[in-house]
Amino acid sequence: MSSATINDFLQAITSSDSSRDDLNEIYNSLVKFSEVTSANKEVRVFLTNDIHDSESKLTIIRDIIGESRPSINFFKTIIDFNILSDLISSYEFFLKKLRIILERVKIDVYVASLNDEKKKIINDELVNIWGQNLEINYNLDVSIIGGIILQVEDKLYDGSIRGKLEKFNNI
Amino acid sequence: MAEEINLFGQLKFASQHLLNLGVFCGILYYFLKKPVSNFFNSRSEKIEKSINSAKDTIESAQKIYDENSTKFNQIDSEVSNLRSTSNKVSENKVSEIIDNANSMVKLIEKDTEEIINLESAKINNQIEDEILNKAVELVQFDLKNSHDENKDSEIIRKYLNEVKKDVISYN
Repeated sequence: MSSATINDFLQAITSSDSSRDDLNEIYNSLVKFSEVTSANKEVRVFLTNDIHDSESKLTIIRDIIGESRPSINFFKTIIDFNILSDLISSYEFFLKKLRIILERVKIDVYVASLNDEKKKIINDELVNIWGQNLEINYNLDVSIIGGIILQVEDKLYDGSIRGKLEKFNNI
Repeated sequence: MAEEINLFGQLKFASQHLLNLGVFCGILYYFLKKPVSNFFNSRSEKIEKSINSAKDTIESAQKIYDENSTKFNQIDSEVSNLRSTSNKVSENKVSEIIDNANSMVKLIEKDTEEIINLESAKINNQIEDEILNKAVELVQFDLKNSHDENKDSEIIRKYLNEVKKDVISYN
C-alpha cells in the first residue's frame, strides 16, 4: 500500500474527535514502536508477515508500547486496514505529519562534547527560537571538533568547526 | 730487179692475207654480232635488274629504318614522359609525405604542450590541495588542543544567535 493511503488514514484520525492528548500518546507510542522495529529485525519481520494473526501482532505491539488505550486502538485499526507494513516502512513520514499537527519540532543536536551547562545553554536557545514544544535528541560526535550542528526537521544548520574548515577547504 | 719482184710478191702476199683477214673478220662479225650483242644486252639487263633490286632493298630497308626510327623516337618520348611523370608523382608524394609529417609533428607538439600544461596544472592543484589539507589538519590539531568547553559554549551561543536571526527572517 502506498504512503498516500497512510496519509489518508492520518487525515482521517486527525480530523476525528481524537484529543490532543490522545495524539500525543499515539505519537510517543509510535516513537517507541519505530525505535524497537528499527533495532530489532525479528520483530519487524514478525509484524510484517501475513502468516501471523492480528491478535499475536497486537500482543507484540502492546509489549512494545504499553497499555495506552488510544495507541492500542490506533494500531488495531492499522492492523485491520492491513497497512502495518506501510507504517513500518514509512513511520518517519507519519511521525513528521503528527509533529506538524501537534506543533512539535524535532531537533537533532550534534556536539563534540556535552556537559550540563552547555546542555542548558543549548536548550534555552532552542526554546527561544522554536518554542517550548520541542523534541531534542543530543548526539556526541567528536569529529565536528567544536561548535554545533542542528537537524531541525528537514533543515540542517551546520555551525561546527569541521563545517567551517570544510567550507574553507572548498574555497 | 729481183728485189723489186720480191717486194711485189711480198705485197701481194700481204694483200692476200689482209683480204683473208678482212673476209675472216667480216664472217666473224656477221656470225658473232648477234650472240655477243644478246649476251651483253642480257648482261646489262641482269645488272640493271640487280641494281633495281638493290635499290628496292635499300628503299625498303630505309623505309623500315625510318619506321623504326619513328617508333624509337616515340618510345623515347614516352619513356621521357613516363620518367617525367614518375618524377613528378614521386616529388608530389614526397612533398605530401613531408607535409603530413610536418602537420603530424605540429599536432604532436600541440598535444604534448597541452598535456604538459594540463599535467602541470594538475600537479599544481594537487600540491595546492596537499598544502591546504596539511594546513587544515594543522588548524584542526591546533583547534583541538586549544579548544576548551567555555570557548565551545561561546561558539555555540554565537551560532544559535545567527540561527535565531535566520529563522526570524525566514518567518
